[in-house]
Amino acid sequence: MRTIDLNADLGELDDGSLDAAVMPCISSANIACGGHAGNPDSIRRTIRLAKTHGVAIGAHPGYPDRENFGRVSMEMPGDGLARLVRGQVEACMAIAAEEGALVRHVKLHGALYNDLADDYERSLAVCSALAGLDARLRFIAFSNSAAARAAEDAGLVAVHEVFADRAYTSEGRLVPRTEPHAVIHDESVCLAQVEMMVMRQRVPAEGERLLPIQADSVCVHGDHPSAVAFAARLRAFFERQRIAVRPAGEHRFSFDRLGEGALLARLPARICRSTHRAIRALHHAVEREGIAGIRELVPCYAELRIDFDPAIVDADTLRERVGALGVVLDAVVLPQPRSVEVPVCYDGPDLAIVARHTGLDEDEVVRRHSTPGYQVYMLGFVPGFAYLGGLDPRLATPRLPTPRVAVPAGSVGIAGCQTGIYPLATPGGWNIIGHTPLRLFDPAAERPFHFEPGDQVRFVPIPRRGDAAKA
Amino acid sequence: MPRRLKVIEPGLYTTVQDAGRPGWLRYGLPPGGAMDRDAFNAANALLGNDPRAAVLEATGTMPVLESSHACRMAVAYADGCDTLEVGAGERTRFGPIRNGYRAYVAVEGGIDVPVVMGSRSTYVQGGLGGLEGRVLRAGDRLPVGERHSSAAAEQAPCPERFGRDAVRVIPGPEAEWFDCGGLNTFLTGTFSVSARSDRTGLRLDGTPLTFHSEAQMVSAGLAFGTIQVPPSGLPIIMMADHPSTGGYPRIATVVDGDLPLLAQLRPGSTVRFIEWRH
Repeated sequence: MRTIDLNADLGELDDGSLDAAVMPCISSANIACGGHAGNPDSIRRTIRLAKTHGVAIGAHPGYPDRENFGRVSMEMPGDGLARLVRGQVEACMAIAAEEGALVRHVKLHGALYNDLADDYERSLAVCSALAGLDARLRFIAFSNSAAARAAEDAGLVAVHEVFADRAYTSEGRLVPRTEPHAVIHDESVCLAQVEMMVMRQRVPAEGERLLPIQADSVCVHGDHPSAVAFAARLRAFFERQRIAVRPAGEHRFSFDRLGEGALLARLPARICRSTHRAIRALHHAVEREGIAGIRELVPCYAELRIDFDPAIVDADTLRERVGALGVVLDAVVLPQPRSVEVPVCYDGPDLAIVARHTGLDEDEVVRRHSTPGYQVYMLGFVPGFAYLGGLDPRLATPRLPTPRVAVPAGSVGIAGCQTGIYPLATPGGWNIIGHTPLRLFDPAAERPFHFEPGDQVRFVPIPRRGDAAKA
Repeated sequence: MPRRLKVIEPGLYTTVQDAGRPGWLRYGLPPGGAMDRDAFNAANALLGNDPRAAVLEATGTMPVLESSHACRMAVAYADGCDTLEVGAGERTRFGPIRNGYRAYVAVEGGIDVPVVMGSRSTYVQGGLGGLEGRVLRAGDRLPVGERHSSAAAEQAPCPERFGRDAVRVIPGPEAEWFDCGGLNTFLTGTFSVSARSDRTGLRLDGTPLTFHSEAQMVSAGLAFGTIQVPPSGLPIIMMADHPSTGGYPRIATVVDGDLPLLAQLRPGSTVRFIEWRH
């Protein structure tokens, strides 16, 4: 079953009367926690109301500027913002704890939300601080933004937010309010836009284009009676479409068959850390459960494949047992991933192509490629090939126009926003920037494969031929 | 003197195969092994071999072999089996492959190439198993294992499976992406096996299947028998040496019992699918 989250900013007005009207319509409440609005009383009152309606409780920190309701940008460095946001969220968490509730998500307010949407570095500082408070927090951010990416990189679950009543630019951003067509006033147009975003993951944008968009949560407003009426209509619309309104990022597994002897435990098709972590947690939990009849567990980006012997265990029993494990994943303590270093000699024939395409010099390409920690999301395609997450987006370079007939084993390449290493000599169209002397697949070795799903990988530059002579 | 089979003529595409190399899928290694497990089992059973003993899988045409020693051999086709006595230095004369596409040649004691990662099966793309990880050539000499004198030959369980032209499928995770009532286009059409088919996959020709491509697909698991549909709309059935993951919608997976039927489809022959309700 499809699901969608409806979120609204609450606890911002003095009497809170509209909060009571909008609460039954939504699944996530973002509660003002003392920055742009809100005080301990309003926080407590809104938490209680959310609890009554079974709505997920979230903190809604903003710039400390009540006069302008947090709608004016303030110049602050990343660490200052991190302290500010952390302080407000902690205040909300303390009151939630007194009320026997849990803060499940964070959404930034107003100018702070907008300022950080395209600011990866400061978003990362804020999200890292939040991950330090509670790594299970969901972070509601503008869909496909740098802030959403930073949340994932910090280890939080990013919830991609879309807007029903705002026009989108051809770059997938909101049309600024200074433009006459920025706000969509016609409710039927708003509904059509939401339907397109939620059902087809596309948004109509300027220039009559349909852009891909990730729609996990729809923002509704609770600051005006007409907005509350629209929220109610939106909820009714989803119910008619048999789309369940519930908090995003809950990782509910669905199950499918892959023939007679394999069951798939699936999450929405996404390549991101939080999905990977949930798949890894399920993998670990199923392994520990030791269910008789399971032959092999194969993790992919967004599914865990469970190969089983139908003579020992039937698919329905397996689905039930694995499904039960899937609902308590937050409690699974994952083993520390292995750290794997891969020495790379950055002497590939396409290093210059990547440098030219990205506008960086070759040394900077090497520096950026060898800086981040990568994660092995899955292995596949050919034996020992690791699908790595974590490439610096600045290094994204399209595939070669004409694939090479043979790429030697050990070649390190970039294709689009992916990087990887060829374990075998095969044809291929990736931009080859270097090679590793490691053998990623050695059938005669005691452990034939160099990588395991879940490994953390780092590329370590080693001297190029001729470098030693120069030094 | 070590027992050997010498390859005089290799045939079109002959490799050493056994029951495969399961357990490495999460590293991207396919299960491999004999494409037609029924015929593979029959060939070993006829000689009282260990059921895991390695045999030769011939494709399209039969090899000619010369044995260093007097021995019994068995060959299992799609539609029947034979045993034969071969004298030392004598060349085999196997009957041709008439119905079907693959035949399995077993020798007493099995083909004794080294076990690699739990199996003797040849995986040509990875260059491992079998004889030097490759297809057999004229002049190759294959080591043969010790005969187990106690083993009694079983009655040949050659399966009666022809006369059926539809293979049974279980709908796949992306079946609902397809137009015209989901699986219907797929289930009402007749497809022919393309000449570009091999141990990796059977490529089918026919009316292309159209599907909604807006939904996002990320690389996901494939099994022996999974049917993927790339943008061309022409299905590809994953066979023994299939890649472990793929990025195209999985419309269905063939039931295990019908995989041998697929393994015996010659290029140009036709196939239909029916939904298996279980």
